[in-house]
Amino acid sequence: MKTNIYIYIGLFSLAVTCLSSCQLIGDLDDETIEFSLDAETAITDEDSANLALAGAYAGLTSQGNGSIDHYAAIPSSLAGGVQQGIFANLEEATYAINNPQKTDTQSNRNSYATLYQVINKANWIIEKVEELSDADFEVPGRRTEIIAEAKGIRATAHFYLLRLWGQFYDINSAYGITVRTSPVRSADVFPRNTVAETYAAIIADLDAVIASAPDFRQRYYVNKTFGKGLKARVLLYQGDYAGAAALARDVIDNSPSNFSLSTTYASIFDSTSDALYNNTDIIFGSRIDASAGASTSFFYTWQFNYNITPKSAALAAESTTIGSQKILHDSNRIASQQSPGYYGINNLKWENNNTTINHLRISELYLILAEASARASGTVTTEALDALNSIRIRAGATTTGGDGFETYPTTITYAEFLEAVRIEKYIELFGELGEEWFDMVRYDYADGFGSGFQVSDIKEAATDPNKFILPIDELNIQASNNIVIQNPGYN
Amino acid sequence: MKIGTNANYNHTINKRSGLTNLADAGLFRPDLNRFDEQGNPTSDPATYGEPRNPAEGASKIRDKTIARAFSGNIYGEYKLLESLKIRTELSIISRTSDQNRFIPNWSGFLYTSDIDGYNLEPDDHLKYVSNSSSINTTFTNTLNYSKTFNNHTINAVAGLSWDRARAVINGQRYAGFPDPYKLTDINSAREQYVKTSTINKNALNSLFSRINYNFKDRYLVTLTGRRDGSIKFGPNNRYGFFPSAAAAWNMHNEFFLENNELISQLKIRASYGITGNDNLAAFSFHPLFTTFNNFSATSIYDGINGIAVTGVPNPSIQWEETQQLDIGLEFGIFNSRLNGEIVYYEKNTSGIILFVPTAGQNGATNYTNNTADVSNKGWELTLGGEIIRNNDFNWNTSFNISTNKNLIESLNGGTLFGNGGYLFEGMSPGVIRGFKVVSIAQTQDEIDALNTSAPGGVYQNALLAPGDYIYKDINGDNLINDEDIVDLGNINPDFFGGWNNSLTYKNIDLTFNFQFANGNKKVFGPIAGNGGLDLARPNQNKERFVLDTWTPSNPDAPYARFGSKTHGTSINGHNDRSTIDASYIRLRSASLSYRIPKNLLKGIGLNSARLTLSGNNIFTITDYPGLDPEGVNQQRAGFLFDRQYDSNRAYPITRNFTIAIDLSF
Repeated sequence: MKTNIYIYIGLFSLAVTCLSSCQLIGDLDDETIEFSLDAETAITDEDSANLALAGAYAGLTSQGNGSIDHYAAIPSSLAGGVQQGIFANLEEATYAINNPQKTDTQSNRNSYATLYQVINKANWIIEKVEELSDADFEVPGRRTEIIAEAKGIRATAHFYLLRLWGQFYDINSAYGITVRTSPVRSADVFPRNTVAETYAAIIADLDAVIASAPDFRQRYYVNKTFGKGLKARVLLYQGDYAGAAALARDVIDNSPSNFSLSTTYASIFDSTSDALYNNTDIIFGSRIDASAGASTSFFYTWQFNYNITPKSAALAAESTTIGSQKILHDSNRIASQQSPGYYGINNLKWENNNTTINHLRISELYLILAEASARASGTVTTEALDALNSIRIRAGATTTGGDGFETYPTTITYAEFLEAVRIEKYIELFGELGEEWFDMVRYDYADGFGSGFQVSDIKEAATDPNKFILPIDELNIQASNNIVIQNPGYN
Repeated sequence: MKIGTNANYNHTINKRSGLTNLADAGLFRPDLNRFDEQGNPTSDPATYGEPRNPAEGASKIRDKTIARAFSGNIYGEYKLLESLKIRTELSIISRTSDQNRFIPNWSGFLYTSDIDGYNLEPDDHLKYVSNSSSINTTFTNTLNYSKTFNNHTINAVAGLSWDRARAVINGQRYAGFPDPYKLTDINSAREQYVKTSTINKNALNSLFSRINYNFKDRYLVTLTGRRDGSIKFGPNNRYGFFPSAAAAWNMHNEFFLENNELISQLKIRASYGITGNDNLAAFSFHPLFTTFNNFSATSIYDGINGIAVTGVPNPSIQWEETQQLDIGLEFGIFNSRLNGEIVYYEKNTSGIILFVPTAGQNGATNYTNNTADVSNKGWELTLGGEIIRNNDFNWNTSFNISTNKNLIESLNGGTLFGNGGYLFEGMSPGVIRGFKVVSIAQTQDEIDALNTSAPGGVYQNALLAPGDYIYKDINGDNLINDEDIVDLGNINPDFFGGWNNSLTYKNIDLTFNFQFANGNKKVFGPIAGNGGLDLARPNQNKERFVLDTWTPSNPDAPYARFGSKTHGTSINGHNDRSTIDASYIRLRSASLSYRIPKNLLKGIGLNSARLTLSGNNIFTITDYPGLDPEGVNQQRAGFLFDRQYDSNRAYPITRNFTIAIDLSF
């Protein structure tokens, strides 16, 4: 009987504790979200806006299956620059043969969603910070800066989406990508925008960056110069060569002292110290700290899954003959990535230690200036040749007039020059975001697909222009109830 | 007035090693000894680490879980009137669980990425700690009415209830212990490197009632209704109303059958009801900001612990409803010597809640949605009887057989991602889809010829070298793509059932129980891709099927070359070579016992004594090549295809025999 009393007392106390602490009864509306913030009310002031902005920046570093490492690796694989390693699956094999599959993809489907997730993160910031007033911010002007930074992130993600899944090379094409400018509150789906509309949205965002982003915070944050530089690249893709050249020139000549060619190429990728984050070559690069835990997956994709192809290695060792001068393409920029890593697999630029994902380096702007300036005038301008040679000189090229790793001479013809720029970009930016592939497609389109320069000159399997861009994974089409349409050639 | 209480405490300790399935041991190289010549445990360099042999490796992992559960309820009942009672009841279940997993450095391997990402060293000892605590409460208040007048009996209940549940699960990982035996407390760790926390909440407010009516045990009627409000759904979709009705007619109690010599039981019954399901995470209808830092994504940037949205909210998510209709006939004839039951059922689930693909433009690949309307229809037949009934010998038997037809009625404009593509309306959710194999390519010329005639120059993406399967071009466009995917079978059997028997002869009892299923197919992992016959893990030991793969000297082998991408993986579509029939008949249990006659026991003071020999899973008749025709991979959320795939690595069901002696004094 005594035990019974204890049980009663025990139960009674438990009941009382529960009634008071864990809300035994009550209205469902009184139940609260825990361990999460209501997105509608999370951004209320400068601090919370900065936190959301950090979250959006972090979105550009998200990795793993089908994130940034894939949307960088896929184009390089299409270009034949890298090849799949031991973890390759059928999907990745289809990029190597330029016949991407449209169903059952992981890299394709996940990369696409990840980029839109970055856009969604930016959209929440833009909408909510726009609702606030300057008075909510302690630092004067920080409100508009945050909006501009978010727009810079959004423009970057839209641009990456466009050049992988849209006919980015053709301003008149209907096959752009869906531009998303408001936060996701439901699974409603919107149709694809045209290429022109997509570019317009990207440029509107970049103009906001140029107007309102900070001059310079750190090179792992969006800044005005990044706005100009990315716009230069976007204009180059659109075929507005004069515009691209003007912006690239502007950045090179007038950018703050923060941005200039780093003294050595190798230092840009030296992950052994934090100096990496302060390398002047980087205009905007996502910062990845080894200790952050999530920096690990690059290892899987770039280091395990992709190798430098023999063709890339050969390209570096080949020469172009200008007049009688045999000019070597590369000294050791590609070779420096050949150091054997685990189980004989080569390290590429993205180390598993501290890393930056370089969305834009000033080196690229020299090469954009070189191509755009030449294309705009139809001749090899002095500034174009100087820009190209600046990059080569930094890589160790000499000007003796003899054979070897030399600067290009003034006798270079227009056609030779464009090809030299393309090869230089291939080598200089190799193993970063797959720029060599988009250059090949642009070069092919510039003189009409099927005539002049052809992608298949470089990558034999890439004969079908429809397959220069990726299919949208069929699940996206299905789930959208055919509101999103498939790219041509993939039906 | 009545007050009652009930309390229960449960304490469980579970200890394990790191060997949890056959793959942990069976995939290691069989040609290595436990120790090498220097006396060091052997290991084998794998692609991302260097695993030890299982005896010196995974089996040294120490995993201990202590779970405590307290449950109690207290109720009070008060009789307002003779037939009316009010009752209030509070039930509480409080659980905590602590798991400690210690991984000595020599007991497995570190993922190399762990080392790089988290400042770990390859020789670090690791410890994973996980603890969870949850509290569930149910507070129920009911009014019960019960009355019999003349031949009518009425039983009615009406009530209100509140269910609340909250569970928090925390996990941490530690590394760098100086000693793997004693200094294993978390304070001895050098690094704390992974931390996770999860919360699961549920709140359900319900209003319910039930009425039972019985007339002379001839007519039985039950009506129920409940209105549930769940926190899982948005404010406009919170409440669901779920009624049911059931009626039965005991014809054998009618005057015209009461004294019938042939028919001893005849009952017709029918029921129809709707039930609701709210199986999803709370607040998934709303956009949320969270912080995260996991293997693939982080919200931390430049040392700032940021916040970010993830996932796609679904503001229109609502109750999943299942309407079930049952019609049954029960009968017993010849004084119940023969009895049986025939049931037809139809179960229509509308708005089934699944984690399904969404358009990537919303920033995620999947979300939770009321995806599909699915129906299950079928028959159940049970026949039994006492075949022999006399003094010395009795034989009771019962045989049952069921069919089920499972169909996606509607996808509401959405998508279901199945294997080898999608599932469409009119398909069964259990269908296995994939390619038919025409033959194995013997020469490169054969492949080149197919590619030459293919529109894009590639006949079949994975057809790369002699030894690969050539898939059948179903639609005749000289190209293998989705349009060539066909049904290869279904994981659901055409029919299944069991046969129970109980025989008694004098002092000997024999019972046995067979189970069977027919027509169910399965993708058999060891001859499929994804770790089977592909090269994904080159250092793994393979099963015997690798000897039946194509090589130039074994051109007639049944399976494509080892390493071929045409073996199919769970994401890239299966083929008919690895889709195998798993029909079986199994003697599930049998038992033979002998009762020692009472007259022999009298002298030794025993009341009764019985000797029993019993066994489980005694034999299985099947053509299935795997360990268990019922074996299947555990299904991950949202992965329908997991149900179709048997990796053949799970521990098969055990066959056991028991000898027992029952004595009573």
